Amino acid sequence: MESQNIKQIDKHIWEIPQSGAMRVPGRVFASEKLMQAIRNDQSLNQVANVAQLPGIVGFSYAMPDIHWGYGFPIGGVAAFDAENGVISPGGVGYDINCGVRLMHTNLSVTQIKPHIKELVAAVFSKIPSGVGSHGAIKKLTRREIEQVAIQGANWAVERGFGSDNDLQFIEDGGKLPGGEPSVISQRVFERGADQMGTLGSGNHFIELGQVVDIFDKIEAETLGIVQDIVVIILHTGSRGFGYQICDEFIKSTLRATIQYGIEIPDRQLACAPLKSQEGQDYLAAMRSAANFAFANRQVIASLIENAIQKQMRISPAELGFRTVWDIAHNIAKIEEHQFNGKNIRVCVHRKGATRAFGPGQPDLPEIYRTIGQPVLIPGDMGTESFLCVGTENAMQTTFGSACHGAGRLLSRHQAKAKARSLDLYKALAESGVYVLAEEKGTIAEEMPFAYKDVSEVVETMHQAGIIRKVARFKPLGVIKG
Amino acid sequence: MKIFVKIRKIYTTFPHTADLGVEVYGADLPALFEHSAIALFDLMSETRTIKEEEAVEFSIRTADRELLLREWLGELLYYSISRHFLFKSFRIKQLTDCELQATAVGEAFDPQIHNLKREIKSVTYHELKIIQDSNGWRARFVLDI
Repeated sequence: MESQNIKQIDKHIWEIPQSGAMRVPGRVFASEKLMQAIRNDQSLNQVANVAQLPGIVGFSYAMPDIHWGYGFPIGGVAAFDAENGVISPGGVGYDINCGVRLMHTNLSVTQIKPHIKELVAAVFSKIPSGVGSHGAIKKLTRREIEQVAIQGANWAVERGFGSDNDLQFIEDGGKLPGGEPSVISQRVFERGADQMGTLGSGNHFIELGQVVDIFDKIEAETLGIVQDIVVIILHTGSRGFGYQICDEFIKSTLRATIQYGIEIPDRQLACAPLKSQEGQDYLAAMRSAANFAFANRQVIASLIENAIQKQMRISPAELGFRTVWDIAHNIAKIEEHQFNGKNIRVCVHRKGATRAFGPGQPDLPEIYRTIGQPVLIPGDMGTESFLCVGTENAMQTTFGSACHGAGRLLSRHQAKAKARSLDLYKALAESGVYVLAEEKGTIAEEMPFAYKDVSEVVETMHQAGIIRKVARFKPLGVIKG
Repeated sequence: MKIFVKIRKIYTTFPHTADLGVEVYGADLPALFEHSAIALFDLMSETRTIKEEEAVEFSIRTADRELLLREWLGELLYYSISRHFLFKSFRIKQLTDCELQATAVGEAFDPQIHNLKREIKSVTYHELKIIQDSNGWRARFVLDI
């Protein structure tokens, strides 16, 4: 395999040389230690496979949290020329616009610690989680979902979930232009109708955390992050609405792959020319699902705010609940970048990777424009999460992209086997984290030992100059699906 | 007199970092397709609590045999999720390389009775394979969970 020839070209950068059917080399960001773990699964082969797709520009990238996915690796970034390149539903994944929202509160750790169990229980009771969770809000009609697909988080705000002020702190203002319900099947509507406002299962979570470290005071102040305050992290996506869109469009794109004579090493890499009807239809459907996810996180954030306010018996002003940033980490977007001194338009696929735009980008809200885009990197539920910002170097090096989390180390099966002999709740409680979950199995799959060391992942990106660390959070209470 | 009955495992899971790899065995292709469906629902739910109350007919056409397996599992999954329904048993009535007629039997999901193990988002195309060897047939697929 091409990936076996990987060579280190810098302290934190590795390259898979272009060979065979690869159109560009692969480029992996990792420390020596992380690379040992990365070599243990098939993700490097997947980096080489993505490099074979038509119109790929620069490199097939992998972030330090890379692990074996299906088709594209998780933690992969690939930019395809907007004129001659392709778009791939598998390069976005089933959970379209799975992402993370960070929320600020005025609460202090000393204020909530004595009530953490009640507080976590109050939030848990308001947001359906677990397998097939549904019924957070009234089941949506087809017409309402069509509006969600077009309006994104704006739809939720118009219905009283959160405020206008949230919107400027969501990637793309919470609404990707070009969401188009007419390209979506009835099955997609059916699968999404009762899932708005639900967390789902797997690695989705809500976390109440404490700001334990500030690495950059000025940037933290700009973001409103202060030592020891309580922050909330929400991780979920487009639920069944996105899963069904991905499923159906991989099917139609597979036909297009054959029709346009594109050779792919794995059917999950099915792709269509971006400019083809098939490519444009997927883009419109994917944007609709992205908007569903933005709306979902907006609704859940509002439900969390209400639950905390009620439980703590405090006013909105006392709670000080507001969105710091909301980021997508499974998405494809048309962006303009500079490459080899030229302005180019590319379709950037980020699969388990986040956008990390540097300072000065017009897409950022004015207040953040001097510091760069916030990058939210949650770790596992027992250790820590990071708030960072994107850099100019990321714009030059990775099409403005960074890692999205710790990255799995053990398969869910291995994690469960390792957890069998442990009292998981006790182990987490001993590390100061109170956890509520629908399924005990999910906790076993998501234990800290199932993940890479998030601080090593973040440090690698920081040292490589792709992001800069701003703050570190430690979990106090976690809700798992 | 002791009677030894050799019961062969009909499926096993293989490690996949983020998702769930499944390998299914069958003496012939219809058995392989039936066992694949059993594996899907066994990984999703406690199938012993599901009663065989209602039969649903499936008719599927695709370009080749591997796609047919994925589509069969995909259709069962979609029906289960969208109708809140769990299947327990499956019978392949007709099977060619590109076409399948089948009956699946189960009952409506009742959270008081049934226990769901995990959410399966989709049956992926990644490493999708059907292989014939000296022991019969084997299928491999990866579930997105």
